[in-house]
Amino acid sequence: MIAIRLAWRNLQRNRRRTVLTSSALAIGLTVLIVQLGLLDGTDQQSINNLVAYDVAHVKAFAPGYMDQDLPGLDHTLSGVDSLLSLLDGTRDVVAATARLEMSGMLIHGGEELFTRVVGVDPVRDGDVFGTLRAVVEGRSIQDETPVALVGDRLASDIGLGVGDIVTLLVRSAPGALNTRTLPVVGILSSGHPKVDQFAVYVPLSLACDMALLPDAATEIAIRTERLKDSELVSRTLARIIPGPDWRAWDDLAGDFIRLARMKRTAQGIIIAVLALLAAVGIANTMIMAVHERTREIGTLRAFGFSSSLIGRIFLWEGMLIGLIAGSAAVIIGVAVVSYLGVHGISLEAYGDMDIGYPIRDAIYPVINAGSVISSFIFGLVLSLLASWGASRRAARGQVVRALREGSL
Amino acid sequence: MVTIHIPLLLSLLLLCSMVTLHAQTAEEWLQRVDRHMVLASAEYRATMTVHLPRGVERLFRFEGKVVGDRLGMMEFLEPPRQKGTRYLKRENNLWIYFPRQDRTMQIQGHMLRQGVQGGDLSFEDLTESGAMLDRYRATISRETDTTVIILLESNDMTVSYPYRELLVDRRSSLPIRIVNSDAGNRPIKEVAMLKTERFGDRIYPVLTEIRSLLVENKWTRFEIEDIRFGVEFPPETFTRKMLER
Repeated sequence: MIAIRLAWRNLQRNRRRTVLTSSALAIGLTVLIVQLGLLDGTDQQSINNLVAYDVAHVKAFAPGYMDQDLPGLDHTLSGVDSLLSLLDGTRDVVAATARLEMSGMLIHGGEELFTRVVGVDPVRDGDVFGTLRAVVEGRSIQDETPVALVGDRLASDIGLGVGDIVTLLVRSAPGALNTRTLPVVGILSSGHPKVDQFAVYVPLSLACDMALLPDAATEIAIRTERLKDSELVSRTLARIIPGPDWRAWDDLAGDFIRLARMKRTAQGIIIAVLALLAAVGIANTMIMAVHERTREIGTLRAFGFSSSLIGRIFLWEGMLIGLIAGSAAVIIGVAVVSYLGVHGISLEAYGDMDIGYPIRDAIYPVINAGSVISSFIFGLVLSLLASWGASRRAARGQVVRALREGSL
Repeated sequence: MVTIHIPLLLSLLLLCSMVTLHAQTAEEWLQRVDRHMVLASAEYRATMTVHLPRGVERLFRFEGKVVGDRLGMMEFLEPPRQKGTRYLKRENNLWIYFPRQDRTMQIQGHMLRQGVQGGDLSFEDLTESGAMLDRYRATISRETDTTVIILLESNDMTVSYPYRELLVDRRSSLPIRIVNSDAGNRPIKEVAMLKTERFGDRIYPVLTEIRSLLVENKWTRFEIEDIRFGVEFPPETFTRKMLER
């Protein structure tokens, strides 16, 4: 206890230095907390968007479909109705739906854009995906009436609004071109660029007609009880319904997961640099303190303070700097992340550019208790390590030399 | 003594001429069209102008070698950004070689029929030449003194345009205009032969315009600068080695 009290007093003796050293560490830790919040938020938003609009929890494809660089209609699932009936009675499957996806052109007047035409089941799709609920203008697809839903970015690129008539041109499975002219009944805004910028949604029966593939689908998408069970459910389904190529969400979101990992590695490098700078600052402060207080250390030793107690005093000084800096960083970092979590970090500057994440418009950082606590502990450990050398040096000093020569 | 019955003779002549007129069945017309259009083997140099709706125009110059609908090789000469990019088609496979990256990409299935450089001609169109008679059933829809309109219906849905309407010039037996329709017989593209040239006993279009009937003001113009028919290619011409040379 005496070590802590003396350490605290020593810190107060040189307030300016203490504040400066703590501030450097506090800034580093604040950046760390905000960065972790940003990464956690990006990951959470990306996973939510991927699962809700793209990869679902588990998907089934025809064998060979996923082996293609640009999957088309060369490998499709047939007998979809019976497959869905089978899944409806399967444990762990909360909902299942079929989709048929193909490349096509969206034509409106003198405009023509490359797009993904996605056939959705008006009844089942909403139980697995959030797409049909993401309509912000007009209405959704309610039945098999031939209508189209268009993403807001795609609509804006081609100057489309609700009620406009568009032509879809696709290459059917056998090879013949096929067109349909349809009214746009709704505009979607999901926050997932793939949905909002590149896709046109039509009823599944219409997509099958256009693809000349009755009762077929390019995928069966499944929602399970919990996302984390998807891998297990995928393996179970592969065992009980062999034939299709079953894939869990993280398998399908491989690109995103690799990117997220890469970003975390890059962040680790930044953290290492920040930590090194902060550690140098603390170590420097502590070495200076030891240097300045050589005679004082000698006096304390002469009064009977043990060398380990002297060492602990300096260790505590470092720890207290870490504690002050860590506390300040937690308060500031959590405040910044909370503010950004509500207001978001705009991605408008990126425009239509692909940032690699299934996110658009804004990133909303989140406070992750684990990240905040680990940042705080990281600050303490860093301070402890940075003051270790100085404390050892203080503890090792000779009493007589310290008092007579003023050096340890 | 033979008595010539003039009205009978005239009737016979008229009948003969009518028989001659109708002797050309739709298949026969298509055969004559194919005789001009199908390239058993050829080597050409051409330019392709892609006109996009907003007035953007892109010009591509390339040379190609074709052996029926099995083998094809094409190399871009212009623009500089595309120069040296080569396409090799063998049966249903297509490889693209990008000289800048020294990389070859294989394209299969549906991607073979994607338009090249945003135009209306696909990789397949540029690297193969097959007979229509093999793929379509033909019927004559209408005839005039100078033209015949032939309707084509594909035997299956494996062709890009299952329905086609050919306006054939009687004199040259060459289609002047082709309307290509989709699987539901909805017109989507119109091909006009703007200029033809005679090469021995073959007449071949040297300037063709493909106009989209779905997108306003979008067309692709294909102009042949030089063409040689019946070329014997060395066996290694259509190989990956030549593609990546």
